[in-house]
Amino acid sequence: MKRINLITVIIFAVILLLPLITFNFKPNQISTIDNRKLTEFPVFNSNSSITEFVKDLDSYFNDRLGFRTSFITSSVLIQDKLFGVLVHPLYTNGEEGYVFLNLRPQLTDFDYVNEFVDFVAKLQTYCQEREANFLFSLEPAKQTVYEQYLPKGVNYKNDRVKLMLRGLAEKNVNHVYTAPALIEASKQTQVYNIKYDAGHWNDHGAFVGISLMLEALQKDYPSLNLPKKDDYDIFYELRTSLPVSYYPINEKVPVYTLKNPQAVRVDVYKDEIKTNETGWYYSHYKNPHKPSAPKILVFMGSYFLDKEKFIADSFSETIFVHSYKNIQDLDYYFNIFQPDIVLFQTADYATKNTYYPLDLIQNVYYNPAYSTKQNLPTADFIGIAATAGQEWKKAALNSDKQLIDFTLPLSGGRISYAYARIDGKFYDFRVLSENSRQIISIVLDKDIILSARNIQVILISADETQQQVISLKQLF
Amino acid sequence: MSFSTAGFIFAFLPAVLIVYSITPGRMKNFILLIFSLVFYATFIVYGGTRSIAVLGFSIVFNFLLGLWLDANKSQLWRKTILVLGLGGNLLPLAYYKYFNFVAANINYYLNLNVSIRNLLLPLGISFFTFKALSYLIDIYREKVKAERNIIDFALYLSIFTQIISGPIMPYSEMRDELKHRVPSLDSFTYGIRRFCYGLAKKVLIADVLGQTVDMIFAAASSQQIDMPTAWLGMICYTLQIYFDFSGYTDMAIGLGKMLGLSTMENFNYPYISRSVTEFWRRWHISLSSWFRNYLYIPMGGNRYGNVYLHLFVVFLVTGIWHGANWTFIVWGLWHGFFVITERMISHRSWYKQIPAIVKTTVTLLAVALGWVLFRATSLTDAITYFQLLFGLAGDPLPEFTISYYLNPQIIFTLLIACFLSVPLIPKLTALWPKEFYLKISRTVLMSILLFVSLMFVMASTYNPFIYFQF
Repeated sequence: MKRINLITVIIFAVILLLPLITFNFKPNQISTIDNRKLTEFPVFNSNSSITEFVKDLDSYFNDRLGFRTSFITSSVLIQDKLFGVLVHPLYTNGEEGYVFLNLRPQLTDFDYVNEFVDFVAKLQTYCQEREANFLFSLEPAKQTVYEQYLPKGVNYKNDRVKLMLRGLAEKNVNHVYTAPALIEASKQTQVYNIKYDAGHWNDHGAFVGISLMLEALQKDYPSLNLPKKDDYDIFYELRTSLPVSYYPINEKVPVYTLKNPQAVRVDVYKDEIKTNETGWYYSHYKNPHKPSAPKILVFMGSYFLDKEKFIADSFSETIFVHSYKNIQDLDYYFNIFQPDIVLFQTADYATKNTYYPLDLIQNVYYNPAYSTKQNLPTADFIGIAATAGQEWKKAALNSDKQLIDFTLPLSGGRISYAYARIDGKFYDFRVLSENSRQIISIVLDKDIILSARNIQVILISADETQQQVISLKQLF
Repeated sequence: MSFSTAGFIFAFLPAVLIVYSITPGRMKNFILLIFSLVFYATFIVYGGTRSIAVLGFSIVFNFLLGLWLDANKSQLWRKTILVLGLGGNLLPLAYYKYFNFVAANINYYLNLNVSIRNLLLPLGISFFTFKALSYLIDIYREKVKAERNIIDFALYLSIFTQIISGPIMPYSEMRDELKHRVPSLDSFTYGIRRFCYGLAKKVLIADVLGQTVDMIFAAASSQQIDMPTAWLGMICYTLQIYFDFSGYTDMAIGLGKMLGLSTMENFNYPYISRSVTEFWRRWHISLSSWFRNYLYIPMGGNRYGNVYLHLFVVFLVTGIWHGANWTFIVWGLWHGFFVITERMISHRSWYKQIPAIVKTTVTLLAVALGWVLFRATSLTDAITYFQLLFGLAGDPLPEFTISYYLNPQIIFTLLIACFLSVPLIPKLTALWPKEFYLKISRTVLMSILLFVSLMFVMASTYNPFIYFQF
C-alpha cells in the first residue's frame, strides 16, 4: 500500500513540476497559437499599480508554462474527437464540416444601429460637399451566406442588418450589401471556405463582392474597369490548420494572383500617417497605366486584407486605411489624399461599439464645406501671429517628413470653423481648444505648401455670421 | 488565484508544499501564515489593497478581544466585550458588503440621495468574519479558551485553504491540529486524491456546464430562449453550483490533508434530500451549522419562542449573507418558506405516507427553482426566467433553441454530474473485492483526472489575439 501511495505522490509531483521545469523565461517570445507576444515579466516601480502588477504577473505565468501549447491543442482535439464540439475562443463547428466564428445571440442594440447609420450619412455628406463620391459597403458574416450549415438549433436572424439597410435607404446613403450576390454565387462556388478563416470571404467571395462595389461606382465613373476572372491565375493552396489555432484541417483554399498587375504599392506616407493602434493598416497604390482614372480612399475592414488585387488596378491611386477608429478622422485623410471616391467597407458583425465606439460616432464633427459659408461678409475679428506664414514654410523646409502638422494659435476672439485655400483648393482645419484659447490644426503634404502660389486661411466667426480671410503666402 | 488556476496549481501549491515540508515543526504555522497572506494578497485584483487591511484588522481585533474576554470573569463585562466583538466584526462586513445595496434602496424607495461609494468587497470577508464571530462566542460560552499565540490565531482566520469559500470551521475543531499535526503518507495521498477529484469536479463539470448556463441566462434576460432551454439552463446551473462549490471544498479538504490539517465536510449529496430541511443538513454544512449554533439556538430554536419566526429569521439572514441583492434575500425566504411549511406538516400522517421519490423530486424542484433566484442578476431577470420556465414568455422562435445548447458534451457532462450527485460510488467501491486493486484504480483515475483537468486549466489561459487578421 505504501508503494501505491508513493506512486501517487510521484505522479502528482511530476505532473505539477514538469510545466515549471520547462517554463519559458526567454524575453520577446511570439506565440503563434495566441497570435501575440507572450507577456513579459512585469516590472514593479513606484508608478505601478499593484493590482496591474498582480494581473501582469498572472498573465506572465499563464503564458509561459511549459507544454502550454500542447495542453491547449490536446484539450481542443479531445473535445472535438469525443463530442464533435470545437471548443475554441474563436470558432464553433457547424454542420457538414463547416466552421464558423463563435455564435453569439444577435445584439439588440437597435439604437446603436440608428446612430451608426447617422454616422455613415455624415460621412457621405462630408464627401459630397467636397464633390467626392461616397460608397458604403456592408459585408455579411459567413453565417448569412451559409445559413444552412449553422449548427443544429440555430435560427439565424439578421434583424440588425435589415434595420441598418432600411436606415441607409431612408437617409439616401449610397451603399451596397454584398450578401445577395454572395449567396447567389455560393450556389456555384465556395465564396467562404468551409473551415479555414471562418470570419472572412475567400478570394472567390472577394472577387464577387468587390466587383459589386465597383459596379456601384461605375454609375458615376462609366469607364471604371471591373476585375475579370481572366485577369487572374487561380490556384488552390492547402491549409492544414485554422488560423490562430493548431486545430488540424485539410482544405484547399482559392488564391487569385494578377497575371499583369498594374498598380504599384508606394506607401508614400509609411510611418507618418496617423492610424489608431487597433487599426493600424495603411497601404497606398499608384497605377501609372491609368493616370486619369479616379483616386479612391478605402476605409477597409479585414475583408479587404490581401484583396487589393481586386481593386487597385481600376484606379489611378488607391489608398487603404483600416476603418476602425480611423474613419472618424475622415477629414484628416481627405485633406492628405484628396480622393475622388471614398469607400467605407465593413463587415456587418463589426458594426458595434467595440469597433466603432458609440461616443466617437455620435460626437464626430466635421467642417461644413466652405461653399456653404463663402457668401459671409468679411471682417477682421481674430488675430494670428504675423510670422505664421514663415513658420509654416520653415516647418515644411526643415522637416524630413513628408506630412507637416501645422498648428496656428488664435487670439482676440473665437471661431467656429477654419479652412485653408491653397491655389484654389480647400482643406479643412480642425478647431481645437488649448488652455482656454483656440488653435487650428491641419496635416498636409509639405510639397503642397512649398509649391503653393497662394495660401489663405479662412476663419468663420463663432456665430457663423462673418469670415476673415488671411493670406499666408504674402507672409512667406 | 483560485485553486483551479494555473498560478495556484503550478506555482503556489508546489511552493507551499516544498517550503512547508522542509520547515521545522515550530515554524510550520508561521510559514503557512505567510503563504496564506500571500495567497490572499493575490486577490487584490478583486478586493483592492484595502482587503488586506480588513483581514489584518480582523486578526488583531479578534485576537485581543478573545484574550480580554477570556481573562474577564464578570458576566457584565464579558457580555459587553462580546457585543463589542460582534459590532467590530459585523460593521466592516455590513459596510463593505451591504452599504451600497442599502443606499441604493434608500435612494430608490425614499427618494433620497445617499451617495454610492466605490467599495470593493474584500474577498472572503463573510467567511473569516463568521469564523471570528464563532471564536468569540465560543470563548464567551466558555467552550474554548482564547488562543494565546497570534500566529496560530491568524492562521485559523486566514488559512488559504478556507479563506475564500470556507468551510466556516469553528476554532474548537481546528485548535488541536493548529498546535500539533502528525503528517502521514496516507493522509498526504488522500489529500492529493481529494484535491484532484475536486479539481475535476470544478474544471470538467462545473466550468463546462457554466459556459452553457452563462449563455442561456444571458439570452433569457432578453427573453431569447424557449421553455425547454429555460429548463436546461436551470438544470445545468443546479449541477454547476453543486460541482463548483463541492469541488472547491474537496480541493480545500485535500489541501488541508496535504498539510496535515483536517477540514470539515461541507456537502453530503444534497440533491438526494427528501425535504428542504434535509437539504440544509447536506448543503454548505458549515454555514447551516453556524446558523444553527450561533443564531437559531440562541434565539430559542424549537425549545422556546416561536420556532417559525426563528426559522424565518435564519433563512432571511442566510439570504442576506449570500449577497447584497434582493435575489439572495428572496432566495433565502424561498427556502425558509419550505422549511417552515415542512415543520408544520412533517408530523402529519398524510405527509409521512408520501413516497420518498415524490418528496425527493419536489425538494429538488424547489431547490432548482431557488437556484434561478440565486443565479439571476436581478429580481426582474428572475421573474422573466420563471415566466420562461412555465411558457409565459419568450420568443416562440428564438435564435438558439435547446438543440444548440444541448450538444453531446453537455449531455455527457450532465449524465456524469447526475451520476456523481447520488451516493453510488461509495456503494460501488464498498463492493470492490480487494483494497489493493481499489487503490491502484484510484491512483489511475486520479492521474487521468488530474491530467485532463490540467489540460482544461491550461486551455482557460488561451487568450488569442482575436483580431487576428491585423
